Amino acid sequence: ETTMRIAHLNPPEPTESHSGAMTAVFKQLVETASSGEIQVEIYPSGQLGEDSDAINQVRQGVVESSISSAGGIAEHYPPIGVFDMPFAFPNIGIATEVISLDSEFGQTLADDIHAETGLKVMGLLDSGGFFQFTNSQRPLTSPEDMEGLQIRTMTLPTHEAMINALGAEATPLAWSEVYTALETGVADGQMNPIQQTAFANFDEVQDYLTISNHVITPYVWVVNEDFYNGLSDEHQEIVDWASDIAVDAGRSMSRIIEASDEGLPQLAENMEVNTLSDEARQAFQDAAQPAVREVIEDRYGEKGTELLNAMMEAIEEANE
Amino acid sequence: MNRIHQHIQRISGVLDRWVERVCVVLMGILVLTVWIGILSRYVLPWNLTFTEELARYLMIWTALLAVSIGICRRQHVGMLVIFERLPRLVSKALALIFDVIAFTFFSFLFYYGIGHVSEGLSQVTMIYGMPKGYPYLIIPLASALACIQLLLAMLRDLLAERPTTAIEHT
Amino acid sequence: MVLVAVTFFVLLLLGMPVGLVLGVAGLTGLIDMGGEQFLTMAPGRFFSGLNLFAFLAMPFFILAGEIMNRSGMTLSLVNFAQALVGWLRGGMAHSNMLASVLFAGLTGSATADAAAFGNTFVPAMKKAGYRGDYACAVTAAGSIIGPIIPPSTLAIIYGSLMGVSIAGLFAAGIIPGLLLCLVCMCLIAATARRLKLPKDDSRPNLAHILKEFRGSLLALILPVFILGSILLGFTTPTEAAALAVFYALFVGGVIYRNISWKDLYEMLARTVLICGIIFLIIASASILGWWMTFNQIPQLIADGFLSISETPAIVLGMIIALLLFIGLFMDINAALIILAPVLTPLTISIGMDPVHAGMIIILALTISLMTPPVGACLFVLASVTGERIESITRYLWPFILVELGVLFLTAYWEPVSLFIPRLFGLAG
Ligand code: NA
Ligand code: NA
Repeated sequence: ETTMRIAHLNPPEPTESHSGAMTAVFKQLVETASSGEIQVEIYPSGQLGEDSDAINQVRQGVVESSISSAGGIAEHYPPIGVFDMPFAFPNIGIATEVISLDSEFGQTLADDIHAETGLKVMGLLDSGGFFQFTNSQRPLTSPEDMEGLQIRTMTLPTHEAMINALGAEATPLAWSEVYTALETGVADGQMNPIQQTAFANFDEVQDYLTISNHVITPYVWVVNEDFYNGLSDEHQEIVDWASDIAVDAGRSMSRIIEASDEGLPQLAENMEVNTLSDEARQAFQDAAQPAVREVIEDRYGEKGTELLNAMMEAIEEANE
Repeated sequence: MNRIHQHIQRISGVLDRWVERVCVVLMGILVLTVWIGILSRYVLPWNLTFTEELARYLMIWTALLAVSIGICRRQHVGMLVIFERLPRLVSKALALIFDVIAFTFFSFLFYYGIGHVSEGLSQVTMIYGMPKGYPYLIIPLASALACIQLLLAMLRDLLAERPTTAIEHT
Repeated sequence: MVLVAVTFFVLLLLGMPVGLVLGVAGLTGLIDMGGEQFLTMAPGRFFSGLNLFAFLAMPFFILAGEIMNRSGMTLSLVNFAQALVGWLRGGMAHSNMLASVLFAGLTGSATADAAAFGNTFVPAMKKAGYRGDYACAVTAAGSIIGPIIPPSTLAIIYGSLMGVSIAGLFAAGIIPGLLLCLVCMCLIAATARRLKLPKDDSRPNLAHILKEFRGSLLALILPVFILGSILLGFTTPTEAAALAVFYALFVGGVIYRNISWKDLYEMLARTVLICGIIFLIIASASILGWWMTFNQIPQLIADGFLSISETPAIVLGMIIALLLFIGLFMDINAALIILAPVLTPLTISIGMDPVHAGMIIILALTISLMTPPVGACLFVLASVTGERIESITRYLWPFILVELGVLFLTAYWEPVSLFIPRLFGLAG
């Protein structure tokens, strides 16, 4: 009997997060298909440590697997930051097609992560939809509306560069401080996927939600290489197809949550919602992309530039 | 015996004072860092975005270095209900055992802490892309200091004319 | 599991420093699991246990307290409190509790409150003739009001972890927080004579109160200054602690002019030492906490409890007992992160409102902050004041009992927590 422990950052319930759905589906499929020879244990809510720590534990073989955000992966594989290129993905359909192990680009990325860190990538999906802006001042309809807004970001140079290029001011704050910062006005706004914004109840302290679809980051499901290689061929096969199905379930759950009471409908009850027009989106893109490209080329060097170009090409192809 | 005792006392004291000075400077920088972080949002013309992460690391460095100060001065908090009711000789032996266990603990943290640092060198922090190994250096550093002070304290208490308890303050 | 428990209790009871006991017990667990990979990760846990921005409030409030003491600001506050309620028996104990409520509106962390008050009120109370251990007990009892009355770090962690309305949790804490203060003041009044608490011969005198009010104005402004900086959106609550240092330093150094460079060095040195003691405990606890999580011990305990009964009132009682029990041995943040996902679905299944359930979980864990053997507030107070944990405990247990009364009232009579949230439409 083999135990496979999976750490993730989100709530445990399958209907509350994509990681919850993925792990629940995966556990059920693997345990039944292997007649219980592989036991799956789930450690949700970042119990075993923050993102980057959990990946460390997978690398050391303490935990067999983890479903991690781009932020956690970035500490082990910095070029993942190319996904911070704003307004790169035109819609969720194309994002789904590109951010996947089924795409050529996704496979290239997975192979490179494997080569650089020794972590085998079992799944690749979006972190739960596009980042959207919320703020307490006004609906955002053009880059001019960003002028003078203090927008909370992660301590991430690409995000900071994007916000500053748009004419607002990036205010990096620890996650635990964001709610009160928005409530009191230390920051006027923030950006996160709808799920995250709804989950953190930011609608209680923000008035405007702008569907800007500006950034979409990946979630990467990694597994310890030695553990995977140590499985029998038969078990490897089970783990492979079960993880594919689980990732599909996770992606679908993200879309369901966004559309459910826990997603956009909840936010729309308390905030005025507007969507960027195509012209406005183009104006945002023109203002933000060059600055972020510069940061990416500067920080991640040749490799990062290559990966960025590959991603942009993949998006272009998917778009046609 | 007495001279050796004084010698140990002095070495321990000098080390303690220097660590204290470093800690005080780090703490001062920590306070300034957070002040500047606040100012940079409102007063200064530029926006400093690294202060949050820097403040966290400064706090951890300061506190972990200060662990050795607590050891040298026997200031770490414990429950002494039973300890103080034991016969002198037994409590002295017990204090020695505690020191040996603590020494083992910190030696362990030192040894594996070095491994952690070298692993951390291949990871980067969010700001600047600084290798994470640099902030991690505090683990072996603080553990080594703790080991040295434990050793000195152990010798000091063994050689002392009047035996002292493991923890003078709770 | 037995090995770790034995290591922990034996070393703790024999008197080894708590910060080391937690680390050694955790390490024993890791070694017991076998395999070097478990050992290699211990230093990482040790580090990341401290790697939380919100912890910064602790050193800053300790430092601010040091400065307020040295500059005489504390003394002026104490004099004012004395003028107000000093003519009562145990007047300063009463004013300590009142001040805890005022302070709770500023900070979200009980340990930060304990550090600040241990550094200010306890010395002042000792000067006025109180026993140091009694003063610590009052301070510990008052400090846990901090995370109950908003703002509250725990409510923020719980709310964002479990997707419960943080505003709702904040609102739910107001009545229980005030009740905690009320029952403690009743207890002080009831036991004042038996404990022979000091009382001066003065009578309440308006002129005297006004004089002391003017004298303590600069100190009284500090909470206003901190609260203002938060409410006006100038700083986050954690940064506000750094502003408190600035304010205290400004008053002491520029207005009173009684702080020298040497004083400053000594205050920083003391702050650093106290941080070293407290942070060793937090860092070591995170090694043990990881071991407990990995072996799913909190879940094991929860499952065991639930096999006993499924009646809502009994389940609720067992949840509270479990929280208090785990809180005895575990760091509160770790306990919250591990237990909340286990317990919250349970409270929902017995039909509790999520805000109500969240408030109970926060309240129970917070009370465990002042219960030995692993009570962070107690450690902070002991290390700040030099008083002994055992002797503080002797005066503390009546406070623990009455505060448990508030916990059970909150648990079994919904309106205590939900009245205000419902007023604002923040709870069902
Ligand atoms: Na509070
Ligand atoms: Na406790």
